[in-house]
Amino acid sequence: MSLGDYYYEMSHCHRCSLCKFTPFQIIKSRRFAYGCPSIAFRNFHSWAAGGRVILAHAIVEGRLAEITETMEQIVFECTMCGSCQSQCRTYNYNLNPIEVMQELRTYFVEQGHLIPEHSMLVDALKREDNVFGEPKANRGNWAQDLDVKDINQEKADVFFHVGCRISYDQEFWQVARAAVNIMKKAGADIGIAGKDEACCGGRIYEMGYRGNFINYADDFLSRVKASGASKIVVMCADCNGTLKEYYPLVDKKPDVEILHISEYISRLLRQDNIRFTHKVPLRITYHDPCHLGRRGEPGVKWEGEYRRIKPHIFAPVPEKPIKLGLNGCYEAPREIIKSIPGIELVEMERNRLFSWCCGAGAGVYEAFDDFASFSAKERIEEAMATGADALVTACPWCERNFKDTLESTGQDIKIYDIMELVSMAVGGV
Amino acid sequence: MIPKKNFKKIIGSKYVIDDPQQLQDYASDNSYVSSRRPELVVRPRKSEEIQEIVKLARQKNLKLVPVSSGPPRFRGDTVPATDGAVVVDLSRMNRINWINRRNRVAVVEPGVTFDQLQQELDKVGLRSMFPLLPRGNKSVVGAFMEREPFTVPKYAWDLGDPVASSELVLGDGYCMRTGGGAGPGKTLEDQRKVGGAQKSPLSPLTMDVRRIAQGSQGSYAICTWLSLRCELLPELEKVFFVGAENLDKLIEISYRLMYLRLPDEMYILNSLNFACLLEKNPSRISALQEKLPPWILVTSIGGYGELPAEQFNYKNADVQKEVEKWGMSLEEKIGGIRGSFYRDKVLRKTSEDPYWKTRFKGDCREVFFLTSLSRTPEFIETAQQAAYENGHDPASIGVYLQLVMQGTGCHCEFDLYTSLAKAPGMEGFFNDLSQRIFNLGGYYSRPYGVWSELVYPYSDTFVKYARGLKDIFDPGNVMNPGKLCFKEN
Amino acid sequence: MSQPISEKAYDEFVEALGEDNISVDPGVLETYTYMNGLGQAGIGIQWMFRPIAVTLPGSVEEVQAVLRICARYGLKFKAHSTAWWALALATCPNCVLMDMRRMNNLEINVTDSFAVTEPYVTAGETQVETMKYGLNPHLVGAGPNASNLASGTSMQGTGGTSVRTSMQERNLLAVEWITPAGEVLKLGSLNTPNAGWFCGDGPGPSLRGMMRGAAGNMGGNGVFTRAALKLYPWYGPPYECEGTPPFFDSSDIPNSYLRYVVWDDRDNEAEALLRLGEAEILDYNNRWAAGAFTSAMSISNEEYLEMEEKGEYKEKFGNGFWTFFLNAESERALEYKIKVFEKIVSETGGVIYETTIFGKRSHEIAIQNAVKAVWIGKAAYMPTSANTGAVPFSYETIDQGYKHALPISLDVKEEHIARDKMLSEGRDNCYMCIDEDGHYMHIEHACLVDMWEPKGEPTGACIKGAARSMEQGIGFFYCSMPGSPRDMVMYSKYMAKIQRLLDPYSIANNTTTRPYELITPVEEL
Repeated sequence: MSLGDYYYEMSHCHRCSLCKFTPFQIIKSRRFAYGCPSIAFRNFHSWAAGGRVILAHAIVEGRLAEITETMEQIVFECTMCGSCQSQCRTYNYNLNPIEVMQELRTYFVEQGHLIPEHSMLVDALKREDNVFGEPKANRGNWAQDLDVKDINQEKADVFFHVGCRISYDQEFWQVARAAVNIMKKAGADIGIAGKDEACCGGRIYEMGYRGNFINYADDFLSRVKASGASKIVVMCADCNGTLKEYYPLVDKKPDVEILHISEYISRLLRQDNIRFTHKVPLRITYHDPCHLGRRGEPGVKWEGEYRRIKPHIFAPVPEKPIKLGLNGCYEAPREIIKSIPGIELVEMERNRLFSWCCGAGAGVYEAFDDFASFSAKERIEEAMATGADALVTACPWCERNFKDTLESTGQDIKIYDIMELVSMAVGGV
Repeated sequence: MIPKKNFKKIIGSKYVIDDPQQLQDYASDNSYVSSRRPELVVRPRKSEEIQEIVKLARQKNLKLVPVSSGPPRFRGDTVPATDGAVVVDLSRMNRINWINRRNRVAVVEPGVTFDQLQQELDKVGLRSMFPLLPRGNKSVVGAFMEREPFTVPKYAWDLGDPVASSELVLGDGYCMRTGGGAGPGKTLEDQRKVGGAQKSPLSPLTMDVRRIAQGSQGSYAICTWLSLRCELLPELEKVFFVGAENLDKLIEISYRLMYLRLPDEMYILNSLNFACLLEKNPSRISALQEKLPPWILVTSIGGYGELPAEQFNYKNADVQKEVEKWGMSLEEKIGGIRGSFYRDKVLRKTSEDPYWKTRFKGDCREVFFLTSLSRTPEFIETAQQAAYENGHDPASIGVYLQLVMQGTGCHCEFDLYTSLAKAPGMEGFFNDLSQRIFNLGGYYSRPYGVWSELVYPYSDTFVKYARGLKDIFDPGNVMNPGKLCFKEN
Repeated sequence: MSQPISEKAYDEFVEALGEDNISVDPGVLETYTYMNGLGQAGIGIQWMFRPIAVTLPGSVEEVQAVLRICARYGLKFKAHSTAWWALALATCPNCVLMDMRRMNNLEINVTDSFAVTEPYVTAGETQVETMKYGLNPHLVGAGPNASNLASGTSMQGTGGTSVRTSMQERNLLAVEWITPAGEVLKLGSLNTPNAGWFCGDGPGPSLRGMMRGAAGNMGGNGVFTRAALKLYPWYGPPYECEGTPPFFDSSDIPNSYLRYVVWDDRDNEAEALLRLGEAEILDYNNRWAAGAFTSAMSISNEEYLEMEEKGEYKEKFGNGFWTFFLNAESERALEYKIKVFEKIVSETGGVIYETTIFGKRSHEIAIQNAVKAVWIGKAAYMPTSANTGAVPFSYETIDQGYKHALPISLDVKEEHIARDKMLSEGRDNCYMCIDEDGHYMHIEHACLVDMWEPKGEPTGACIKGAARSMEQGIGFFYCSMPGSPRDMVMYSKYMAKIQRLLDPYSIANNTTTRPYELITPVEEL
């Protein structure tokens, strides 16, 4: 699809501003009524999904003589969290702001309107197969001395992919190691790619580098095939969303089952292969990572057009799948949490499908750190408003952004990965 | 030089009055506004005549003062502020143009009184809204053009209610209709043929000149008719009382009952005002007062419409239950006065002579303003303190608290009872009390007399635009000049 | 066509507002040029005038600064909040838009039942806070995403709850109003120190009467920076809803009653509405027809087509249907209200349906409309994504609505549907509601149009409807109209003079407040 293929969506936006908000049916307070971090930060309508759709519309209609830096900022200062997509559903499911926004990014990149930090990331990725530009050779260091199969050497049933953030952020190594040990103890046949693991490519897809992304998808799939695994388990929600939603959009849908670590642990719990034997006396609140939840539902590639079916009624032909976010993963982490003795779970007002984005995704963490902090700070405030001692999530990017923000804002709440709680609950591994 | 001949030509000699004694009736009232005798009184019958009168006034630079109620008047708005004024007495325009049960509306001219209107409404099962026991000669149009509060707060949606549409002869001579009456049908009959009933409050187009004219003491226009929203007349109706030593609980009960929209009539009186409504003789007033608690919430419950008895019963039960939550009870009798007696004397009635505000001592000066009901105790304390410091007996102050705008605000009224002889000497106290109320935040939404001198110095921008509107609607300044903020014009 | 803003003007805006709160970037300006708000199809275009700049004032002082700079450099201005109306954005060249987003404070006075709100507080946000105190703001039919203040100060603001919560214009209390000349004009009780916000009229005359022009205040008469609005009782705990879009899962509301009702005979229907109004029992009422119901029920155009073909809704609701909601303070009260309701409906030949008649969806539509006015807007957009109205949009009596306004709009629609100028959704898509216990009825007839449709031509419906309304003597745009050309000219003269008073430097982008000024300059009248 190209930008012009979304002309129906662009020209049928109702300009209702619902994309800015959490659905009015379910809001519990004014304080936490907004759903879109981008417009909450910048205030101009341009920074709402509706505004970007209008921008795309103006470009397609040739109304803009040139693309400016501000337009680049409009397009890329967004975490692509998908809140707008869920809320826009109120009026018509044939409008897909997130798709328009994604295509707009791809268009900008193809036209050479690049964000310098994004270009640097892509270069780093090309050099070292990770978004940080860190030596590829160090990728597997997190698993040093860990008793786990190397899928380059032997087959495994579960291909465990930890992702760039965990691989290169030492603070998370223990979480990944614990995950391996817990899964193994539960009888899972785990294998990792270690130093040969490469980025899934999700970040660059979201940044608009679709061509480069396909290369990484190909690479990933070949590794999966070689592993002989029947399932992929990912530690990172971004990787989860990439494999589930983005890979199918470029005809790279893996033939194996894709599970986020929380889904797998939840399954093992139900199968009684994991038992929580230690109390974890904490009052916690859970943050739904966007790419585990509403951006973590299976993507379906669609190619078609909007045709006049009857006078005044245009519809996609063939029928277009409704993209809502309902099929994301929301309950598995909660099942885990609720199974841990001593834990009290209190929900934030904006939870599950309506989760407020942490601010890290789609290149924002790299290029717009004040916006990333703003979004994280807002979420932390929401967490603190519940009275929780800790904010728990299931994505290292969310955790990193929360932790970085705490350092600068001085807010006082603990941040945990869900696997840290699991580790505590099994007595540490 | 007043062109009497021209006026006679417009309305007939009989209705042009220049007799000094009759003119004197319009020269002053029961307020502290300076007395000034008009040069002439004219008594038109039709709006076309009023248009001619306004045109004449413009040509000859005359000043017109509209009056629609009979005496005694209390506000000073009908006393000319300039020499050479012509009073336009609208009491001859006393037709009820239309009553329509289906659309719950009555269209009345300025000379129509409350009794007159209610008598006609009784025939079709409707009720008009009433201020608290108005004078028998009080004009319905006069009352509601001045945003007089009425006693059924659940029907007071907007401060301008119960007015729907109006016809106004503006100061430039143009006859404008507002609200549903604006058109397009040229005549009201034309409008009614297509289902119009002069009900819509907003118009012409979406500006609202009626709102501008209300509360303006005739400074922009002379009103020649109003259409008024009416409500169903209860088939069952009972008046109840809640008496209290202390006002605070009655305030809470009032808020709660207002919130529940259960009662019809509802207001709070002190024992003095309650007694004045019901007794005519000062000693009987005092005697009744002795039997009453200091504060009385008066409320009525009505049953009307589809199932009047059932409506009455559930409201009655719910109100009783609510009042009991405060450890109080809804009484059918208070101080020996039965609710039925009160209903027959006060509800939808006009005052028998003498007017109830003159019964206690012969005269009265009203001080009223808007505030929040919850703040009224502060103002009451202030009034009592001011009375004490000015040598006026605090026990001679009647208090009337009336929720307006469905409880968002409260008309707070102090009736300063005095004798005719002592009234002039009370001016200092009146002014002092008025100032204290203003300082505390009492809002003179209808700034009669000296209140205009308190309010408008704080409202430069408002005054600028009010005067700007005056220049638009009354470019010749013929309409009751010298009132409100138009003193320099 | 706008000229680019001068550097000097831009620098002054930056100094006054801060760099982050002014933009002249073409991309930003374009996002404020596109409009597809309610009624847009009647205008017929989606791109309005590109503003010369977009500002985000955050205070009264910043609003005044914008106005001052506009006056100095000969620019126009227009303020908007959520801007969900066809003429909300710039309608002339060289217009500086004020997006009031940064002004979004809300305070609630629980004791006296009003809220003081800034422009960008939506009705939905107001409601979620006020319900915690057993209070409810008025919600306009457009939905909870509309600004509360805007409908109070600048339009009429009717909606399904108007039977209980009036129309927003009448709920307006004190107002803080920045005139185009940059002055702070305070209405009502704000003119007395320490009085508060509880009253919008006076002192003396009520200048609320001059806030609007021909069709509301489309930026013509200034910027309203704060307003107090009346609140109404909400009996019971705050509305609760969980679940997922599109239809969610509402909790039951205690002590309440929610039903759909259908009448086959319009005369009986009108009688019923009269009686229901007088009975003072309703807390929400809204009429629509099968077409609108299909719009609300379907989640995609494909589904809309399926449902339409199936014809299930047309069978039951083809002649129109009403949603009624009763909310009571006690069981006794509810029992009485239901008894009266059922009596009236039965005696007038109405048929009552449970709101689950078509499953959970139809229940959610009913309850969310009744509480949140969520689905009315959808019924105006689905499946064509643009709409206008077949006038008359009358606002007078029930009889005028049913017997005179409705037939005109049905005929006009029929003529247009026959030639595919608008969507054929059963001819009757008329929205109605009675306000203030039936003292007025509002009627407006949505016409759905897809801007892509080659045969689409909805503007004619507005003009034709307006002409027929005038011919029959009915007001056609939320209000009554002047009767004769002479009267129209006179009213326009007054409006023009009022606007000249407020806007001496002529900087307001005054789309609808002076319809005749272009034709006849004020001075000549």
